[in-house]
Amino acid sequence: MELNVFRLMRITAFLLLAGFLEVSAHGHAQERITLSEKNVPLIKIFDDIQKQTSYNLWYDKKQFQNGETISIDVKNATLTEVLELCSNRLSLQYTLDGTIVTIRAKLILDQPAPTMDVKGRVINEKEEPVAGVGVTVRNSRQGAVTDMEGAFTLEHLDSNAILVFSGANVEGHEERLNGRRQLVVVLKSKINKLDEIQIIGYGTTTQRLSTGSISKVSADVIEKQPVSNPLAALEGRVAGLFIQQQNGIPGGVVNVQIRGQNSIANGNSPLYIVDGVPFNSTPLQQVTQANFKLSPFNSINPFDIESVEILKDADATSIYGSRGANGVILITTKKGKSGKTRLEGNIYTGFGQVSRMMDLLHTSEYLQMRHEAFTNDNYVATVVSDPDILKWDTTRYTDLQKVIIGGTAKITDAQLSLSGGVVNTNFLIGASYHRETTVLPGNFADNRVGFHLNLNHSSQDHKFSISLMNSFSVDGNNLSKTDPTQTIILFAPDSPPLYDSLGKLNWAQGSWSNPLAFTNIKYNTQTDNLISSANLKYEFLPGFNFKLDGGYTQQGIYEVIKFQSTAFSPTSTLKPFSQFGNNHIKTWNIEPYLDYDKRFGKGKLNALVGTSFQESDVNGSAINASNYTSDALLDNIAAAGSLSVIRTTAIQYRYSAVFGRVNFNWQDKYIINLSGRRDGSSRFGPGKQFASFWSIGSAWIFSKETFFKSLSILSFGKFRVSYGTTGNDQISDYGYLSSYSPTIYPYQGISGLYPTRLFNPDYSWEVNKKFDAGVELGFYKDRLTFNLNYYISRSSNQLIAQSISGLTGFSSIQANLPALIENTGIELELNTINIKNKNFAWKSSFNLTIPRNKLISFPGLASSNYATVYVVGKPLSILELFKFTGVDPSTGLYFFEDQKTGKGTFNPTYPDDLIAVDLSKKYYGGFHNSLQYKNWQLEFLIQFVKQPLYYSPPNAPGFLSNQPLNITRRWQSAGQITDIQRFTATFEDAYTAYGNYRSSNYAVVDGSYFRLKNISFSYVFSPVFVNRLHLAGLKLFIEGQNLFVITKYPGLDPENNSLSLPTLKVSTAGLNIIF
Amino acid sequence: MQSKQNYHINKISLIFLALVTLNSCKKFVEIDPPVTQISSNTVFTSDATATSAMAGVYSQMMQQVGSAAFPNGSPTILMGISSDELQNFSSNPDYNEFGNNNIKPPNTEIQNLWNQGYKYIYDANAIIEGLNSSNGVSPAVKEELIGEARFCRAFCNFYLVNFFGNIPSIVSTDYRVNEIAFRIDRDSIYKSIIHDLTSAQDVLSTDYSFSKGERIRPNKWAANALLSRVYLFNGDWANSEKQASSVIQNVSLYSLVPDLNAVFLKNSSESIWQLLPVAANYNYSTEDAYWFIPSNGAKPNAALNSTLLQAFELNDQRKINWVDSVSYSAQLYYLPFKYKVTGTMNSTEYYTVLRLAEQFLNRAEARAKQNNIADAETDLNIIRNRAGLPSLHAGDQTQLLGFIQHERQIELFAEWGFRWLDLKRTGTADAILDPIKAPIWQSTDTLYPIPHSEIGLNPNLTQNPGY
Repeated sequence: MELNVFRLMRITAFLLLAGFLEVSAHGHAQERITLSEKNVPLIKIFDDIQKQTSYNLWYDKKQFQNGETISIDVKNATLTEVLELCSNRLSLQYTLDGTIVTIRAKLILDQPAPTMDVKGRVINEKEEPVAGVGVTVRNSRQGAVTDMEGAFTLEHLDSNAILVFSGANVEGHEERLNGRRQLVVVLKSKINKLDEIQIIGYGTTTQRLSTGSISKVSADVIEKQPVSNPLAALEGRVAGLFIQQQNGIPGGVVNVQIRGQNSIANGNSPLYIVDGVPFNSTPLQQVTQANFKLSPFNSINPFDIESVEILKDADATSIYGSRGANGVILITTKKGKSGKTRLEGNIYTGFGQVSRMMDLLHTSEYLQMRHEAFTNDNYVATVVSDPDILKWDTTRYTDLQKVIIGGTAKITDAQLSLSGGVVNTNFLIGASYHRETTVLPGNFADNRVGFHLNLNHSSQDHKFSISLMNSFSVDGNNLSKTDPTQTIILFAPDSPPLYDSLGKLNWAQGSWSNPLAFTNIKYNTQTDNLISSANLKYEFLPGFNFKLDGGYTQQGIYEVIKFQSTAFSPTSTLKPFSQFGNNHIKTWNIEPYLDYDKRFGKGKLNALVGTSFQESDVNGSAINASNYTSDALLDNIAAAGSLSVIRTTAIQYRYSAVFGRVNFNWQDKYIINLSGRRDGSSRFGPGKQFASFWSIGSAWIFSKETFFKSLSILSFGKFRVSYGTTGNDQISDYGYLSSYSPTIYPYQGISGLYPTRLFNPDYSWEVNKKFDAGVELGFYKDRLTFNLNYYISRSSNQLIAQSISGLTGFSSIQANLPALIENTGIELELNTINIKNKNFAWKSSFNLTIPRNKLISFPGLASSNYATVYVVGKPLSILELFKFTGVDPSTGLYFFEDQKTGKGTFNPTYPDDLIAVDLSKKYYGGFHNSLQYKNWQLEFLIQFVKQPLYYSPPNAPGFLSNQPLNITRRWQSAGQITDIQRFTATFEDAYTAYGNYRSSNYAVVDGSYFRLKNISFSYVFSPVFVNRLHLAGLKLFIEGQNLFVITKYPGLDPENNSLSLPTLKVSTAGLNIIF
Repeated sequence: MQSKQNYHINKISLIFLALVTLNSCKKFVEIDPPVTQISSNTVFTSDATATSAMAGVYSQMMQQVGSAAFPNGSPTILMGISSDELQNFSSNPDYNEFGNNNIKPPNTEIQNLWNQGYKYIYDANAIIEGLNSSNGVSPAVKEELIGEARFCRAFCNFYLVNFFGNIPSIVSTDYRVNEIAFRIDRDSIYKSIIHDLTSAQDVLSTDYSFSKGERIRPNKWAANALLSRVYLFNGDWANSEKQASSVIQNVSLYSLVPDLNAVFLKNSSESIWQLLPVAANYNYSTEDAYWFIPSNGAKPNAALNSTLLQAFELNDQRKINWVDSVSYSAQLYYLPFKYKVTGTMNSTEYYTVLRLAEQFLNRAEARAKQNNIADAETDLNIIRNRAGLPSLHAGDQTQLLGFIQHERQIELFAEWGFRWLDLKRTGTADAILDPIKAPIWQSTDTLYPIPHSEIGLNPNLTQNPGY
């Protein structure tokens, strides 16, 4: 039975039960009725019923004559069913007595009409609040607009009033109150990215109305990537954002740069804010022996993230004042959703392998190389220097790449969340588990357990609301101290067996350092991460909101590195030792502010003013514990024979600010946005602690102009310009303070003190002036959106350790250098819905960034520490290198240009013969496609980077170390033209030439690459099937990360450009269940 | 009505917010110094921390081993290879420039001599300033420490003026003044050195009680001994004699050690001021021992020059006890062997800065200059006799002065650059070095160049002639 009831009119009169009742009395209860009517008066339905049955319907015609119309479509329904249907939708009551049916309009006694106050909430099908939706009362002038929580209030409404909902990004809808005082309305979103909410500093906006340059990555993108670090999920997705994973070690550091390098010497990392609380992005490790850095972001569960907003220009970042110079990354975690309590589980498992290996020589080719080198140099091999020829079994072949880094990492990830709530209160509780082993031999793994809690509540009148977030994770990372890749990759291919006959590490009588030794140097870390935040809002007067954002984060690490005796060669005199480290960062912030919203006429004004207080305390230490008697005791600091303190750290960092913003919007057509902030930081000395930052942004939505409306294909058009200043205070703390530190050694038992710094209150913030202009266009009802951005940012007042005359007792002093660095760039983002029909949808998005970086001026460069590092007029990413001229055909040596004579030489002069070689990225971006056919979905992202890379192979061909295959085209005889020099085994000219090759532009290679960054394929089971299983949703998926890369790069992975462990290619499969 | 009330509330809350903010922001960002460091103000509030600041100077002077630093090693090695006593075999190009008397102003070792010298002057100035404005330090400790700081400042200035000639005089900690200081003439520098040392004499203790009986911090006698040298270098013979005599006559503290192998042992009776080796990772060895004694089978970094070897008289016990030889690549190298200990945790040697033998030679020269030939010969022969050599009797003052210079060359070889300093101050550098070092030698080589980068950083600095 299918029913369709449309209410199109409302009864405008209230009638008394009186008067004439037309009666017909015949019929039978079991009779069936079939009706198919559209927009007919009720009387017509009554007539039909009378005709089809023996019932007598008694009703007052007057009551229904001018009444509502109804559409009805029933087959073989009973009388009761039909009448129930009508009475549910329309205002009527009926009684049934035998075959007599009495029908009357619903009796309402009050006169005048009863009224009530209504509170409602508008959400979309994803159960997200929809702000800015207009709610009007039909046939009345009354109306309201939903706020950020989607809430609205209307007073003194007729209990049968019909509410009409309309908004830019939702489909229109009407709803009759039917006496309800509270309601939740679900509106279908129009598919328009322009109107998605974007989070900005102390507020929200949309792409349509934004005056700044902001990009957003949502949960649906992040969730589809099997990564443990949320930053890795942003790679290739956002124009202007360059992300580089430094290695394939679980938890390894990820470098992030927004719009280029702004600072010569100091931090270039963006400001990270998680749910309103600043998040430390610097690795916490304290021990000195760990050979790689771990990212604090590994403590954040990507699945907990609702959205990541990347704020790029001054308009978006100057509200963060002194910390916005390198851009701001806002991470917002998931919130609960009102409605049915919902339990969601997501689990995947899979494996990872090194994404790329090198092609190296086989034993026979290797031996040939060695012997040729010996012949070339008239060198006689010795057992000590050349065990690979004279001591080891030269018939052996071991592919050490395969043995050491060729393993498979196992990845398991499980998420469970419970969410739900009622109109004004909702919650989310999540738990997560992530485990990732390594590709290395040895029992190494990273385990993270996390909890996430979110509570939202607002008062009945929506004047007060509170949102609480709490997330806690414990990440136990058991690794080796070293990434062994660099040391093992070029071992001789005839290297001895890794294990001896007893199953112990084979040291081959001390003739080699067993590449598996690292497995006996365990590096265990435990990182705890707590983020708590609270957001309060109180509307104390209409339009005036008092808001308070506050938070507390605590990151802590405990580390131990254990050098077991089995890590050392038996000939070594080293004894087992440990290093212990711990470090804690505690940060709290409180930010009260006032927010004012006012509509007048066709204008909208939003103003806010607030203040911010922040404190971070860092406490850490590292201890070297040596002279252990047994490997088994290495975890116990008390068992050490001697202890020495490596370092202790105690830092307090405080920060306060006053900020404000005024946003004026005229008819959603002209928008101007002014913001300012006065910032104070404890990192600067007395008198220099405060500085002001400001910005102005404006937008003109020209597609709203009448003269543009005739252009039918253009559905949206906006010009946007902003200019402003931001700052950078990423320098070490206490730099202004004259202080003494303990000397390394005591003097006659008296611990020494020495002056560490000059008293220097003179330096201040780095200042970054940003200009940004953009054009945003939407075509074909925004099915195609296009966003082109141009930016110039000039960074000056560079904070550097400026060289100072030794007469001062110091070699450098923290100072502001009037050097000027310019970053310019073009960013392009294109989103298209290529095909969309009932069964098939294909969407694409493309982003491209063309960055340029230039050192405009640097007074005193020649006498500074940077004299051979930078050149005025060139990018910061240059290297000063010799100019390669080729392999000299007569000597077989690499030759370089001697600038004085213009001739080639194997040994050019440093620094006279250096030339500046540009190593900056030419362009980068990503191309994302999403295809959906019925319940199947396929998404993939191709990331591309065009860049030169400096690549330095570690040893000269001919020495004891394996080599890539290309060395077989080496120079062998006089007159030969080739690009690989002759083999050598001695420290003579060929070795010198090889060293110079490493310092030459010949070592700069094409490091461009295309990478299938992510692919995901999923199947969503139909609701019918899912319901049969008593579930609310079921999805199966397979996902892959870094599955292939196309590059000419000769080394391992062009992404991390070093001989460190390449990023892993990861394949996983999993399922998502909603109960 | 309603709106008026709103207005007031708005206004009040805004004013409230503004007041709270502006008042609290400024105070909020003023933070205390970190607990792991001590602010300069608090260093000079107690005897213990003030003493630590002084100990920090000595500790730093000795913390760098493995590459020579001022004063641990570099005066001996660099001035040694600049002159005719040591031959450089180190592969370090910076050392080669010293050995060839062809120093280029960017030379790293030149920069180190300058920076390290002025660093300790800064430290001394900071201690003097800190103590002068301090109330928490007891008067006795304050006097002693100011004396030591003045001594250290004079000690550094003495070497700097000898390295570079005219130099800036740095007497405060204000970097804005110091970074643009002018060079002033050497006589003024010497005046300030004499002033510092005579002031120090008055306040320094007369024994070694401050350093628990160990001779590792300068006392009054160290100031006298250095002053004797300073007067000698400035031709003030009477004062030089007087200061040397005051030390020599203090027989309860100082006497020549008969066993030459015991002269450089810790707290030897001959030593007036020694520095305690502190570098644990180099097993507390002196830089001299570390540098001159090659590790197993390695080529020596430096060896005695043939002119020095030939200058030793027959049966000179110093050649037997203070010179060692090693063979490398079938060639014999003679090494300074005053310091003999490396690679053991319990070093028996301290790094001797001032010792009594120099005082005898200073006084001999001062007396000779004053035509007191007999007493001069007595002083000279005390040193000769200890080395197993017969007494000498000179025919005239000139011959005697020649004997004394020769004796200084032998007794003080490979020790604090005495040979280089003596050649310079006696005006004999050209005559003696030119034949040995020709054709590279130039008269201007007696002064080292002002570091290249210093001239770039301080517009008021001028370069020495010849560079």
